[in-house]
Amino acid sequence: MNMAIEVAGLTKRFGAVRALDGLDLRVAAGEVHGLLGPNGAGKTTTIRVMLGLLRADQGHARLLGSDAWRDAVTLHSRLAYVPGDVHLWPNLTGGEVIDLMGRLRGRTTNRRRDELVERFGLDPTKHCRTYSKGNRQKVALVAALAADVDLYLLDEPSSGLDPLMAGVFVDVVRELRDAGRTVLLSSHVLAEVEALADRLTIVRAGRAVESGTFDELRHLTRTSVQVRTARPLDGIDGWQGLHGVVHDRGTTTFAVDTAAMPDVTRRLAEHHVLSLVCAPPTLEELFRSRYDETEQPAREAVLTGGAR
Amino acid sequence: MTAFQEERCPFTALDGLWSMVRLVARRERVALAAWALVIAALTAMFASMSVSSLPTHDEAVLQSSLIAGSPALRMFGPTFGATVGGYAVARSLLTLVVLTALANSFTVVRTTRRDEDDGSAELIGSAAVGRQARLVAALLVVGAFDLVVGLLVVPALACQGMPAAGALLTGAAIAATGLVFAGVGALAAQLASGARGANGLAGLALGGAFLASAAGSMLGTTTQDGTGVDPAWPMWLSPLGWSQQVRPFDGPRAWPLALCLAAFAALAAAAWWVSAHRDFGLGVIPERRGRGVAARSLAGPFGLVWRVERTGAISWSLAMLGTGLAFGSLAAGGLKMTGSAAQWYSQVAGSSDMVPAFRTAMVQMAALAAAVYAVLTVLRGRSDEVTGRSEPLHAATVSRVRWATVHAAHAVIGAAVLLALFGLGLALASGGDAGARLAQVGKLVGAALSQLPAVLVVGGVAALAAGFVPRFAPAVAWPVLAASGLLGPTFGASLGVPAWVTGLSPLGHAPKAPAAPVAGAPLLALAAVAVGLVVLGALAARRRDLRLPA
Repeated sequence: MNMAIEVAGLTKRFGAVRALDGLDLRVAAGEVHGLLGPNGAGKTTTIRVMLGLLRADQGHARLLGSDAWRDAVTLHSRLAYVPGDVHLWPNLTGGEVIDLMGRLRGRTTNRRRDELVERFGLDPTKHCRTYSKGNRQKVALVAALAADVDLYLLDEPSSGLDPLMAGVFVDVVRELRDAGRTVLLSSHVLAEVEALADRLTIVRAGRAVESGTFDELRHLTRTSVQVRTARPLDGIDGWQGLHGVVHDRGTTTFAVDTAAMPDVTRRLAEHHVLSLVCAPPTLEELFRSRYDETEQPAREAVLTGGAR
Repeated sequence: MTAFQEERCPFTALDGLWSMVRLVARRERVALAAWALVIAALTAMFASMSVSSLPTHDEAVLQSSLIAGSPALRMFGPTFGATVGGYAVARSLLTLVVLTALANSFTVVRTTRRDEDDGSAELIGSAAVGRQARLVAALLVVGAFDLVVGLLVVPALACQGMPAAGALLTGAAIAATGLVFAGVGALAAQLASGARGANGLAGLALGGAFLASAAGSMLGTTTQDGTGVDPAWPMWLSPLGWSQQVRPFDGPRAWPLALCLAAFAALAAAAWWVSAHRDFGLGVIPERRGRGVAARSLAGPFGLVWRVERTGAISWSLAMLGTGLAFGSLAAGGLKMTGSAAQWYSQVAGSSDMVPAFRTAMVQMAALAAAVYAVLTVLRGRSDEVTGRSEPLHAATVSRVRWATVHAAHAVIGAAVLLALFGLGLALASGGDAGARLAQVGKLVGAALSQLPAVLVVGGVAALAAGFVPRFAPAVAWPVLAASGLLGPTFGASLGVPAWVTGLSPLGHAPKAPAAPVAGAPLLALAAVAVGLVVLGALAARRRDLRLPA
């Protein structure tokens, strides 16, 4: 497969802090790839290394077949970037910033720019110092998304947008995917990644801990169960493969490991099930389970009353 | 029901006033204390300089007449007689009053309007705080500040042996004028639609006040004994003019201070009225819109730096041209220098011919100003880096070397234009007929431009620091600039610094033009050093991480 991003064994230290610790990331051309992780996991550092803004201590990063550090300038005319924290020149207008970025890359048409300004509801005649956080974000989004490039690197792109504008953003990224462009989407908005991404990589403490499609990752995780039974579920706390058991006015909720599913359904049936709701884990649960297991097993044990 | 009744009572507008006063005082105490100490220290310094430079009555008459006789000098403050105190006031009152005025208007705008911009006023406004409490609290706190400044000025002058009554009146003049600009700041904060706009309006008012007092002083007539000035009517339009009209040491009078108090009362009342009638977060003057589409010149980093810098660059240009004209007109009438002053000029310029020596000293001062501009321009590139503004540019097609080069180019062009304008000003005001002035243009512009390579070496140090240690570049560049100035030709001679130390300052290696001819070799050597520093800095920037915010 043709790879748009190939990152292998990336290491980066800032003084005593190890920001990246052998991170791998592979993104195929034409896919929307989610990059997920808590704050400080190394998402922004990874993107900055891929842009040649930071120099990796070890490992290599190739984008669109070019070396991220050595070929930075020629490579950058083929990609567009939305920074995680948008800082603009206070005395320039939003329109001026958008045009400047477009002219630097030389791959923006006025028609596309005006269309995006309209769709995001941005007033381009206001000075950047008067923009709210959401509007500064819109300036960066329009500047990047108006570019006709092969690769889009978006670092938490919808932070500060209201739900309506976040919806516009999702639409625009879908159009880019349909047009065969590659998008790397680092995000905390899990619903957004779920709606957009074909594949995702979960980053923790500077490493990629998991990578794959949603189906592949759900494989490894639990199902949420909400159940009412005629006979009380007394002893359920001792069952194998259950997590976070909560009893509330006759309803019991818990999460169950995929491997334990056959056993649990059989034993539930013995208690005469009145109602049963099973749901695939949301990205949020999936996300939490990755981290709770590897990072905070003790804390989960306390929260679940020692069910494990 | 009670809420409705309370709404009608005017004093509910001041509910929570005491808490607001404490909040404002708590937030501003460090800044205000610093302003007050700086103003008091400057007063003491100016006073001591005046005392030591006027040892005899004859000297006082001579120096006072010099100011009174020159429209260019007296625009910054006229004399009204030949006293040491009066001379100190003429030399320093404008500076002290302007500093006090800035402290007042900045503080009032910050505490009334900035909070509204960033939303913290909303938090407080939702508590039991009256609509006007914020405004009145700010005025009370800066009023107390003005009182303290006025009281600090008194001993600063009296300790130098100046009459106590005059010292007291000087303090009162500074405090009362400061209060006027507290009112200006308060009204501007209500009219503008943001703190930045409010500071701009207040600055405009201060600039207008300066122009009116300067015009009044320049258009005035010299008194019969030649040591004082009868200012013309424009001076009465300006609060700065009122402070000068107090004449604390030469026929003192307190009644112009009543004008200050009346103006403050009117401005504060107007601010109160507007504040009661406008909506939260909005202003009477709407925020100015800009262009929605970039001009064609804004197509790359060079155009960007110009677009961001141009207002500042134009202001600098006008200031350099104006200063050149002012100093040029001083030299035009021939200079009557005697004693220590003449000795200083000949030492600085290496010539005992006073007019070229004076011009050389002025060109050296201009070089220092141009170096400040060059350092500012170079450091702008690194501040865009550490604040993250340049991140999207580097993520697009702007390389670090190009970024460094563009700022260096702007520093070179800017410093050259500023020096040339200063030389042009000197020449145009040099007296004689049009032909004679034109003949001076080439000579004096050339003399000013001969300082450029030395100026660029100072800028080059800033570029080197920005390349290697961007976070600490200002901490390297400004001390280097200050040392270059202090050890350089203008101040080094007065400080009695040995020659090998003055040799460390790049500015000391610039030609002493127009008093002495310009030699090519030192200029080439300085230019080579400057280019080397910029290239090293750019190469360092290419190899390292960008210092972006986390």
